[in-house]
Amino acid sequence: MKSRLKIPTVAACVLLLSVLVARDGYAQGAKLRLDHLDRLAAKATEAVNVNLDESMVQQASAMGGKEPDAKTQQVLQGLKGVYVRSFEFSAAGAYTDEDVEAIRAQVKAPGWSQIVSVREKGELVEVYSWKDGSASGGLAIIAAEERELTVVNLIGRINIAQLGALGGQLGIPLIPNGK
Amino acid sequence: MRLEEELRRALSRERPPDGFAGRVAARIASAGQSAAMPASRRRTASVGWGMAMAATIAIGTVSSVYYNHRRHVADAERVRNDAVTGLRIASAKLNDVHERLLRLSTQNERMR
Repeated sequence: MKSRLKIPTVAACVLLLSVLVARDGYAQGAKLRLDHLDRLAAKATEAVNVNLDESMVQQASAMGGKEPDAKTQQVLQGLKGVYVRSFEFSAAGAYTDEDVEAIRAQVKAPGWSQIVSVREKGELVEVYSWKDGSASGGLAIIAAEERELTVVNLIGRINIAQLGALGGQLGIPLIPNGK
Repeated sequence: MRLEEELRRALSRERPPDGFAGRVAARIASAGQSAAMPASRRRTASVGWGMAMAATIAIGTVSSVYYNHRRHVADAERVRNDAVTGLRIASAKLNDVHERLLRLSTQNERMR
């Protein structure tokens, strides 16, 4: 009798644990862990570290004034998080393959799908999308160049054409709509 | 010896002139009267102190409110700049990958 009681209890515990683990994984969703890259800032000649959660993004999109302009505000309105790590180094070899692989391993999780991957001359640029149901729920960009490493993680509704169009403000050619 | 005598004479006890004590007492009394502040003047002084304290508190409060406002504005500006920087980097990288794809597809077409 005693052993009969134990088996369902253990099974219930295992079930509860697996539900909690799955829930935790789901809660992480489109948000990537980028903390391990922070140590690279000490080696970098230029480092950008952006950590904006939903309330901060809403605050930024609600601000008046010259910036953010209408296009940027439009992109910001759909977002729930903006996380960026970008490093420029004076010499090659400042970051390791493991640094990049740690990010790539996260975007192999269910929900993520690769949109594009370009590898040339030892450089890698990959774009991943995270689906929240049928809608876009997140975006990840990994750009690993010889002296530069950039990881962008956007959470929320993202229109890639709109986001790409912001580049036009920097003198970079625009991504044509619908591509 | 002569110096000693002169010192003794100079330091010897002398009786004060007649009425000296009375004159000193009268002078002390008159000084006390002039130092005492009339009631109206005391009121004016306390009102002045009150106003000074109120002004100090008001200036402190206004400074604190202004400082908090400036801090809030600075935080909001930092958040806005971070958001714009983040999106510009994302946009630049998207355009970079787009250019790479275009270049590679052009190269492939030439090779064919």
